[in-house]
Amino acid sequence: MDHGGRLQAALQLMEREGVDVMLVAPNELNRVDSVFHLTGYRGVGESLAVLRKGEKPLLIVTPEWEIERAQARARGWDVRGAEDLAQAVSSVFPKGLPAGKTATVNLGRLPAGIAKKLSSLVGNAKPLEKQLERALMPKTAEEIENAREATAIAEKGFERMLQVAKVGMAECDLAVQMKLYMEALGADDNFWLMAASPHNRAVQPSSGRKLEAGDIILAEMTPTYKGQLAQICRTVIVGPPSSVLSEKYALVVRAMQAGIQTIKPGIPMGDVAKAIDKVLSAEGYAEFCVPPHIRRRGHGLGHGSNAPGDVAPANETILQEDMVFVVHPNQYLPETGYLLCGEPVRVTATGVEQLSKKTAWLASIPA
Amino acid sequence: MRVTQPAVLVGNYDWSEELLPRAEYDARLKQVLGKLDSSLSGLVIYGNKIDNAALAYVSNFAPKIESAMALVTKDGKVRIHAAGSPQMMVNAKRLTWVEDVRPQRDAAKHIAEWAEEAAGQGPLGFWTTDAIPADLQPRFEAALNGRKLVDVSATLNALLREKSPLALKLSRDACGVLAKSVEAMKDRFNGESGREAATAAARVAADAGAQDSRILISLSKGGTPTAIDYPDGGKLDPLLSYVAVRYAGYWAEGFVTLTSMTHETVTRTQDALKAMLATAKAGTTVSALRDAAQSALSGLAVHPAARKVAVGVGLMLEESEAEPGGVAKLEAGRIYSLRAGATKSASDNALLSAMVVPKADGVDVLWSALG
Repeated sequence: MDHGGRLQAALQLMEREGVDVMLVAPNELNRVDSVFHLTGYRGVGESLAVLRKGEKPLLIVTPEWEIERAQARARGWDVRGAEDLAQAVSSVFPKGLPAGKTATVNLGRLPAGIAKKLSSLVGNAKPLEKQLERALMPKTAEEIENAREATAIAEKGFERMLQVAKVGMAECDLAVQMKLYMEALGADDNFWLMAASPHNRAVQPSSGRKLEAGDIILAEMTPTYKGQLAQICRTVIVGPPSSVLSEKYALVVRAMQAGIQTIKPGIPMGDVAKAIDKVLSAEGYAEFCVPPHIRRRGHGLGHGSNAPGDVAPANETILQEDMVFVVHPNQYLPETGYLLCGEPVRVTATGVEQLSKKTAWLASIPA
Repeated sequence: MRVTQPAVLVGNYDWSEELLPRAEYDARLKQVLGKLDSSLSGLVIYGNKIDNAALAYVSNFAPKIESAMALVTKDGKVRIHAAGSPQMMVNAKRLTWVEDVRPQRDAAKHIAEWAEEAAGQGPLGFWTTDAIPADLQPRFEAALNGRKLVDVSATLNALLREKSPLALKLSRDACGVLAKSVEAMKDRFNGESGREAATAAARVAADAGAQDSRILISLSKGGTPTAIDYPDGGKLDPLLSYVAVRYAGYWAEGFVTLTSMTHETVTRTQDALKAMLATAKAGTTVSALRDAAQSALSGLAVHPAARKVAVGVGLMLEESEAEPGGVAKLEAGRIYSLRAGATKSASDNALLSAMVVPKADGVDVLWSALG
């Protein structure tokens, strides 16, 4: 699928649902930007994709001076700059939106003031969030290439982190340096969690805590390249690793590889999680393979869609070629605390392609 | 000013008693409770990674991911619920002086349970932000089983606009960081690409102690600043940029236009900003500022990004104003960004700004693109 195909899929959804107009908003707070997914444009202010049966698609962006970038990104779309989204929608539909024939996506996730004005225009429109996400799920060829590039940026970022991190450095200072480094490599955003402790209970956003000898640094690097996310999960010990840590880290990597090797088209996503759990359970960690210790073994990657969802036993989504997601056991073990390893993968016609060049290893920096 | 929001706030938002002593928060909490109607039995304060001004004002808490809320009883006991698992509260607790920090699994349920156990029977106040998703407040209200949630944001936002001596000092410090960041961008402008200049500006801001920086640059020569969402576009001359930095919770922002040549749009915009700075003082109306700028632009069109000639800046980049149309007149003791800009075409624009504190006889300039 390409962006044109994605637009067609959205229009076909409208046809199936019997609607003539669909207003699509981003869901910025939850990092699901349906406008970006449809148009290739990620807003500075609020934006709205307006699909009308039989007419050229329209992208309304705020503030109005965002129009230059919007036009450059949303190829094939009419683009209108506006200061007030509701006013702009009103001017597009001077006779009002067609009653009973209008659908919305993510309107409730817009800032309250804007949504309130829009709601008065829209009335009882049909919400189609899940349907649109399903319809637009397949990655475009460009997004898959962007996922490869984002993965390469993440791997370079991690290599850099091993050179830069040192005892006495605040987690945040290290995190900011890495974020800027990855931006210099082309990343446009980063869901970047990094925290350290001798015994981690979770991966968290970084704090001002300073790195100490014996710390285990957890790094979840998720740069986006042209809007497409890719994630690697890594663990670094400050100082030499104990034999227990080395042994347990090898175990979680083995579990991850068991999960990755399971991947092929036609199987439910849940099988990937079960393969990971099987390895860990065989070593006596079954009780740590369930909440509250673990909820998922990975997840979909994308700014517009989280499809195919979580790598979790209950996820029955059938894997298809070109689905992209991260597999990360990210396991809490009582002997070591939380350990991170994770690789982004693409489902191929016959199996799986790991997008990262190197598989997670227990890295160390001098104490 | 809206900027592209990062997925996670990465910088250091830990509460520092050295920078923001507990006494400052005690005083703020007292002011907040003092402004609440006596019929209210408690206060819910909402914030998210996009806008957390009210939450940060009371607690220093800026959610690094998703959202958080503070639940405040009438006698000033504060509880925070923050996004993340129970195990993630270790670092969340570092963001605030508040000791009671709990995970936020179901915000509506947390409010309802807290109201039952800690607040009285009456309605609750709700201090929120324009950035709250529209579907959230109705969910909160539904969970409260008929107990009212009264939006007190308009009343309490006045406290965000008034700056304490400490808030003024921290804002000055933020402007110092902005100055360093903009200088770094100027230094790199001559030899490097717009993106490299922006990265250098962000790096210098971080080294100077910024918690956050948001930088927009021209996409093409002389273009209006926008998000840097694609790989390097090469060296741009003119390069327009918007730089915002956050230090100890307080934002400072600036528009700069860098060029090696003489452009009418730039010189007229410089004149416009000078005219605004000469006109501005406590009590100056926005229309007087606009007139001063317009006159100096001598017929050039005002750039759309400079149509708001004055915006309040503090714990948020654009403070909520008492008037729906934005700043009506400059008030003493507040902090404003004054913006000037001209446009001739998509590739011929200029934007400049200054951060000021109005006084009876003029303004204290905390930072200016004029140098």
